[in-house]
Amino acid sequence: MQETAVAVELVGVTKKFGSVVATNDVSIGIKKGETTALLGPSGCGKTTILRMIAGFEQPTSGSLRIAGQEVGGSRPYERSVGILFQQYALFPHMTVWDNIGYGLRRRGWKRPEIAERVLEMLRLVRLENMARRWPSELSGGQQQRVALARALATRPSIVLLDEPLSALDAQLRQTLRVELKEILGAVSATVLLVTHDQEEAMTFADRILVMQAGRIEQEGSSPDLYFRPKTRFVAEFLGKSNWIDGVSLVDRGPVVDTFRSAAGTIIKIPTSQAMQADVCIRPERIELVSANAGDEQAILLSGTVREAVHAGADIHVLIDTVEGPFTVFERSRDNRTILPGAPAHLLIHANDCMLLPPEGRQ
Amino acid sequence: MSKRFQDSVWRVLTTSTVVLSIVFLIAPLAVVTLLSFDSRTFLGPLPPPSLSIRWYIRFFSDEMILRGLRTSLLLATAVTFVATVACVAVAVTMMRTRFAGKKAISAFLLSPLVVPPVVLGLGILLYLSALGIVDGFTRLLCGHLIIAIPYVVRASLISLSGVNPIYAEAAMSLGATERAAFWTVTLPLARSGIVAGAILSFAVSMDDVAVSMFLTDAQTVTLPVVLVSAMRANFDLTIAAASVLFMGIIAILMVVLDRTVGITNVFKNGS
Amino acid sequence: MPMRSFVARLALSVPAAAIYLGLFTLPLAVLFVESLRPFVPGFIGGSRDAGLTLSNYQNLLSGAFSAALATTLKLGLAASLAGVALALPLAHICARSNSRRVETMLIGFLILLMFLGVLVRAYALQLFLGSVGPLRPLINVLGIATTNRAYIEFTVCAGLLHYVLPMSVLTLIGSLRSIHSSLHECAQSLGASAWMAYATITLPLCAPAILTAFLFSFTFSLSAFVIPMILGCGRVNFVSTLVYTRFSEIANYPSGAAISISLLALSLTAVAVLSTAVRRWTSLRSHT
Repeated sequence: MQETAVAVELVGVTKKFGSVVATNDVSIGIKKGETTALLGPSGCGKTTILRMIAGFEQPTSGSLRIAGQEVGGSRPYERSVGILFQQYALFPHMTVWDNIGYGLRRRGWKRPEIAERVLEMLRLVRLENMARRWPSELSGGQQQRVALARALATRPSIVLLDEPLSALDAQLRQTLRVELKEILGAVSATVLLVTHDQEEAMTFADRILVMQAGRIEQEGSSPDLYFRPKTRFVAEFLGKSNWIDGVSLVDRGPVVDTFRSAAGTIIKIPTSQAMQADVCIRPERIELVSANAGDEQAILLSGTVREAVHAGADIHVLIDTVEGPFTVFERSRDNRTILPGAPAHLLIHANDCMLLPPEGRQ
Repeated sequence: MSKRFQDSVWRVLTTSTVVLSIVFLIAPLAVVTLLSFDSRTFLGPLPPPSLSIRWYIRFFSDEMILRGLRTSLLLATAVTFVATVACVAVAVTMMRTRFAGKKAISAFLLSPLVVPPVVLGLGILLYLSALGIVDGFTRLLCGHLIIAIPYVVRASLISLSGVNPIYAEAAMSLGATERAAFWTVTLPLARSGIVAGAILSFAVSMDDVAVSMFLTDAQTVTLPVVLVSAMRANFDLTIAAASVLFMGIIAILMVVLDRTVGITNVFKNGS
Repeated sequence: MPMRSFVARLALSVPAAAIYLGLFTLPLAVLFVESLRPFVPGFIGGSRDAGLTLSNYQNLLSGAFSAALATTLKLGLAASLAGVALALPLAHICARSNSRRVETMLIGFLILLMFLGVLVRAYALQLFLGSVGPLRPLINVLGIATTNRAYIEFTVCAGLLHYVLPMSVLTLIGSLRSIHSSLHECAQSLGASAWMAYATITLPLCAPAILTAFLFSFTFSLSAFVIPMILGCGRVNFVSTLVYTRFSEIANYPSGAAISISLLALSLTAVAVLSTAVRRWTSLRSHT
């Protein structure tokens, strides 16, 4: 087993607060140099995992290893973990220089060594001439960079990011994300990002672990999770989705299986193993066509437009069909007006249908 | 009566109340200041016909007053020092939040504040006499200590618990033990509140009359006790000079403190 | 590790514990015991040899003590109520004014007053309200002599008010600040005039703070010593000044002790009652 390649490992970690189970038998392996995201709604346990890795909570059972060492039971200051807090938590009574050097002073480094390292960090985050400033004199973005420099100064085995971008507006988010990735990439840091924002997770991390109710539902890259969700929760959390529920297999062919919904819609999907399924289709993959367009491999659904909302680059069209309400994202075009009450025809390609196991219905 | 009329009446009422209150608070102090520069040797009605600084000269040449001043300053400094040290020490032991009976202990530490000073004065006198401690300065030290320390305790507890726990967590994640985090991060951040408490304890000691009157003896007197006897005995305006000097010192002290530690901010958010 | 820190913790608590035990608990106990000793005139303090007695307490029920108690309660109540009433508009300005400058100046001034303590202000009021003060012409016109008992009571009350007012304002500021201005504006947009919005929205929400301010003011007035001593001219007596008289003029320590213990009991009762009221009120409100 390549011990050195795994930065942090959780095996069967369960955490209970009284009778509340925050994490339930969770196992995660984070490789060195990798950027991983823990994504999930509030209360799913992601923050608990962050605090357990940091050492502010102890697992009720299971094992937690950082850089190969078992750390369950050790205090935060005995671990090699760097944290970028959501509120930055820069010490208001210390200058930027003293903030960054704080961890080094605690570890007993000598003055000249500290100076060298702090300068190195300031250069890394491009704040060389801010060394003597106080945190209150810095902008939000600068404070974040200082907080990151402070966390990286001690060369931690893993850097934990607690929702670094969710409180920011869209413009700032883009800029800071690029900056953060650059800085973290420059030191080949191992990063664990914790967030409830799927866009933050998808744009930042190489690998995403989706959590719900204390368990990991699915892990994979961003396209994996978006185009091949394994459960309904993951499909709906990662983006908007349309559903044809409860289809049953009527004919298994060598290349194509034919499914049929309760409302009678025929769905042809490349061979699968399923007998029953829920079908998920992403809104941007559906085309609005005129009545007679269509081909053998595609589903054609008819319906009536309920509303069409212009949302910048896309128009979000809500259409009532025999299979229920469908949302379609159409690119905005000048010559196109979609009116409520108008008839609509939805063209869905077989390849865009994602089969998911049916979830205890009725 | 229309609502707009009601509003106007209301505004007039509240504004005049505020103005009257402020005048009430300032006017007596202004009168004292004016009278302290009165050139007459007796207490006459306002306004003084001419100004002089005779009373200030009297103040600095009165032996009794100077003795009292020296004693008071010495006492206040000693009391503030001991109280602050004892208080920070106790605060360190109480820093772990999951402390059984923390509330009860805090309440006990603050309880001298609800005991009337006269009660403490008489009680301490009887107690120290029973122990055979008759030295005036020691007795005064004991008395002032117990009335001043709750102020430091209160200020320290409030400001320490007001420090966001996330700073201590950040410190620990960077390698500081709980104790190192307390001394290098939490305590410095609570500094202004603790200093406010220390200043308050100094002021309480300088100003105390009730406890001191029981504990002074012929050799050791505090300035307030001297002034009180003067107030009851004659109509000497030296006391006015003393008051103005005291006001001046306090004002300067406050400006200095606000610039360095931000005292007004501590009180701005309510006590 | 846990063992060492426990011992360290104990050691750190020793100074404070010594102060509180030695200078607080024990003296109060001694005081209590003294109050149960009989007084023999001509001797200093209570006699050690005779047994314990309740006679000191029984003597309180008549004469000087009840008069002093009545005065204390009357003037204390008046000053506390007036203090809270006047503090509200002042606190409002401190908490809500549009000018930062005004706020800081006002709050700074109030803190300055607090730091000045009791003595300087009591003396200032003695001059201000006395026979040489600027109010002299007015008093003469109204035909009030400065030795009139009612006038002296008024002076003492003013003295208490001068101390109690800044304290109440500072207590109320925090509470007023926490009330979001949108609540007041909402009430007005729903049709309430300014004073109505104030009475029905702001005041009830501040009630715990108002009660607390009253509590501080009243307990201060109960224990007031310097103010009645200087402004009372020997004629208006508070319970505290009575203790001192018993001690200094008659050396009747047991009686002084008995009065002290009674005063302490009174003070604690007031605190207990009002604190419970504050707590009850706050828990009612917390259903929001």
